[in-house]
Amino acid sequence: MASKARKDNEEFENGAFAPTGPHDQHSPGEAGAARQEPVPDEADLAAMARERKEHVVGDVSDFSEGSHRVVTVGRRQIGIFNINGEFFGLPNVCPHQTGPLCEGKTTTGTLMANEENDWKFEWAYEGEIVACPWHGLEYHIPTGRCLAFSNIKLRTYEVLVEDGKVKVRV
Amino acid sequence: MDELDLQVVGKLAVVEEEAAFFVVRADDLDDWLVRVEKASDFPAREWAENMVHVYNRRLSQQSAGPPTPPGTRPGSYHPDLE
Repeated sequence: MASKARKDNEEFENGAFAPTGPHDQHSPGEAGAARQEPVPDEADLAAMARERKEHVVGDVSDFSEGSHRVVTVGRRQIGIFNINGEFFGLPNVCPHQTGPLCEGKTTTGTLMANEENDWKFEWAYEGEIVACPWHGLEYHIPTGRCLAFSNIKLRTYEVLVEDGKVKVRV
Repeated sequence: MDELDLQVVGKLAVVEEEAAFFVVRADDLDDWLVRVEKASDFPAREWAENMVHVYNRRLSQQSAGPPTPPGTRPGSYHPDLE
């Protein structure tokens, strides 16, 4: 069911990506040929989440605070980031020209301006921004949101730490 | 490209849903990588389809590099200074 895995996209928190509602799956190139499927309820979603497999990708000591590295999980590479002790996972592919976006050497922050601060620029999200090493498109790691194009969001993989092991749930 | 070095094994595809286009692995349409939200002022379909086209072309050409080398811009980018 297409909606199962894609429920992750509804975790995006700032409203730019609202829940998508009923998920009519279209096969690529078959726009308009919707396949009706039942909408899962909360119990279904909880069961689906449990179905996702956990993959051990290393020891906690392999991911020091502020560091990140790319691991292979199944048939895709995932960038694992440790930001102030909290772990996040993003696909290692940039939507722009498919560069290895998680292979950027460092993470950084970004300049923000908002109405509450009279539109003055201020540094924000320190350590939470990764830039694709190919052309520099930047993403907010915890949400997967592209800074330049807010309509674009990377999948965020759940990363767990249990018994000293770092695990990705896919 | 060595398969071990692939960011994603296998081709990508686009799946359209009500509110967004998803870039997914072609051999598992549930396994999505990128969501591109539809909006009247944003070419969501083009972004999703371009990502798939570029990645699948890299696969078929066994090329690990970017189609547009980093730091380059089309000649039309710079204004004519003369």
